[in-house]
Amino acid sequence: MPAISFGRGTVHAITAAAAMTLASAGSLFASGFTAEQAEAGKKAYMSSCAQCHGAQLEGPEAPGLFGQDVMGNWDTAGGLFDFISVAMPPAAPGQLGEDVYLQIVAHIMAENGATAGEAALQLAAAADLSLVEATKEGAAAKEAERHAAHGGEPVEVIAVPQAYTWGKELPQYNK
Amino acid sequence: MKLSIRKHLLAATTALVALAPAAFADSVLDKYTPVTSQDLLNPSKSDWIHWRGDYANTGFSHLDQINKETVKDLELAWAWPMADVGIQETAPLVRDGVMFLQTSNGIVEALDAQSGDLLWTYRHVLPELPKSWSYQANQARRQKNSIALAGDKVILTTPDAKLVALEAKTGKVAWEKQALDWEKGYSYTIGGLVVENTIITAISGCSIAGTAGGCYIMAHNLENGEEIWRFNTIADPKNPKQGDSWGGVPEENRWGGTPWATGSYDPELGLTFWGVGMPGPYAELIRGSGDGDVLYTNATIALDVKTGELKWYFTHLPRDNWDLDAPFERIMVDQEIDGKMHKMLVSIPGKTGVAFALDRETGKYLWSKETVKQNVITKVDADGTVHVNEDLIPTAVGQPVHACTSVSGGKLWQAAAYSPLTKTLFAPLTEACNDVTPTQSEFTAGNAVGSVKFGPRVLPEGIDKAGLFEALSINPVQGDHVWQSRQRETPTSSVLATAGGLVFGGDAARYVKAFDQETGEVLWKQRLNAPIGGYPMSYEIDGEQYLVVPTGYSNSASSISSAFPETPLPNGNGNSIFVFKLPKN
Repeated sequence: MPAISFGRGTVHAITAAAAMTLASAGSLFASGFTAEQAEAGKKAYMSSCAQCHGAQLEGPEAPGLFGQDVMGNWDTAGGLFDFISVAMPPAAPGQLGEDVYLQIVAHIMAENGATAGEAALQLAAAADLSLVEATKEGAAAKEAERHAAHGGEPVEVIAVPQAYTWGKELPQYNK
Repeated sequence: MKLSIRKHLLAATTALVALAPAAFADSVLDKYTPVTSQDLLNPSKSDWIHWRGDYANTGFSHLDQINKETVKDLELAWAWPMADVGIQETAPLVRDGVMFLQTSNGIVEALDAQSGDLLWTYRHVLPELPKSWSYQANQARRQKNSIALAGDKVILTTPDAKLVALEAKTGKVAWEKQALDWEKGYSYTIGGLVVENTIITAISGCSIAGTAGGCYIMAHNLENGEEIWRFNTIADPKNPKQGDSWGGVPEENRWGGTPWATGSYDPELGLTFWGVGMPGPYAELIRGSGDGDVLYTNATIALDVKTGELKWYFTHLPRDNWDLDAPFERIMVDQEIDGKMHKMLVSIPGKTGVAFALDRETGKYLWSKETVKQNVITKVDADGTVHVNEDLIPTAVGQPVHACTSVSGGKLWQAAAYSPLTKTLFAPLTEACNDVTPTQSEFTAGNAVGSVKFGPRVLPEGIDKAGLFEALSINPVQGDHVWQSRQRETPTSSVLATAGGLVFGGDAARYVKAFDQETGEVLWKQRLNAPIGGYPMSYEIDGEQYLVVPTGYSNSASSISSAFPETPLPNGNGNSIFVFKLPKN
């Protein structure tokens, strides 16, 4: 993976070639859901979520669901499930059923770069499944792939400042 | 591989589309007269030329034809679909029979306010953002309020951080000015305040990673958009306390402080009053600011309107850890008691729903009053020092705390109104809590720096009604409950108080309601196509009073709809305005 510098003004580019490399690397990481779950989740997402969150999770009528910062903010598959299974979709909050919400989580993870494996995503284990860990290897490739589909120019990553505590080891909550 | 991002992104920035069907007929535009400084100081009661009706931000209409007796007879005069989608936060303005209607995505339409006919359209062309800048892309869909009127111009603030002056009669661009760099994330979500020859605005997008170190209230020249002054809400070199309050966090790692409701203006004091939003990242553990107050976040600031110099500030929520920002409308209330004039600044400034009154000449604290259930502010001292609940401050990454109110309020952008008739403040509020959990994640361009995970919005324990229309009596010594109208569905619009003794507001159940200011009794209600939104307002033409009710997509409804599942929200967006009046005779 190319080194990423975060000094101000640095521009980092991901090319289609790099995307292919990353995509093949991504297959090494099984992510705790099955291809069937993600496929069913795509259907459910397109039916119940895409109207606001976008067919490619881009928003913008509702917050976008794509990107490593989005994954980081939801923390775990369980964290994302806990929210959407209560609050979404606004016209029928919490009414899609546990299986469908898990499938939608699987689809969101897959779209963010996670790769399907043999074990199904289950609620009991979802709280221990880190979204960043599951998606980070495939994320850059996925981003380049999405961009290639929209004209093929390389994607630039504009460096931005980070939190004052970024890179520092902070106390972790012991559940 | 590197390439020029500017070439890629700037390809389609600004263009103009102004259509003028009015050219075909005698138009109400022919009789349009310039808005003078005197008009802005003392608006005609027939017009509505400020987002909240006046410089004081009262949200009060002096019209009384629609009143407690007649309101039951209201009927639809006309309706109009908005030009684009997005959160429905429009604040229509009316002058000389012309309605100026602003829509998300930088669109302005002029309509004949009597007939509902379109007169002209201005559609701002926005730059195409990279797909991954999803938070920033959403800014264009959340225009918070109004355009401003001045002279023969309409002043528009845009999601790509420009000021655009339009000719009021044609919609053609007179001038435009790039105020700040949209590529960093700067974006206007609120309209300007015009004072004499100056446009005062506040920028949004200060939670977006690229905007580190600067969030501004700015003054520009009304004639050409040239900058006159700016005030940075998160870095003030003149106040050493401010730097200390960030606990050593350098400017380039500070975010937030967005003043995202248009300020009020006191011409006698020469001061303009603005609310400032939360700090970023939201949790002090991630922010690195220790137990500092992080000035001037969640404060009211009073600025000299000519120089931008800070006269005073008052912090409503120090040490925010929950994104409970306090940027909402500041309302000027004058009351003469025993021959003495009391110049107050009254507001429910932040999401906690706690009301505050200040002396607006000095910033001195007068009183505060709780409304909805909240567990964040534990005490306010007699000198106005606000204490927060330290049990709700996470000390480890991944540690959830259960905060009331929620990130969606409590109070949100929906503005309260003050009626001088009943000396009462009316506010639309929501009962809600949520889990707040700090996370550590890497920031990316075009996205926000919150670094917390919010749980779903839920009702506070023991409460089964999310919605609250609150009426607080106001005087210089205290604020007190006059009435509280509770309901399952959350209020979703701003409220409008009128000289007819009414207060209008609407909810997620698609009802617009007229409350009796004195009792809270609902004297009229009408169900419409979507949650009631934006800023209901009123105007008069040819002796007839009109009531405008915006409807459409509401984040406030969506975020807590699980609290009233028996009233499903519409799937459609539905953004519209509905205009009511009384039948002739």
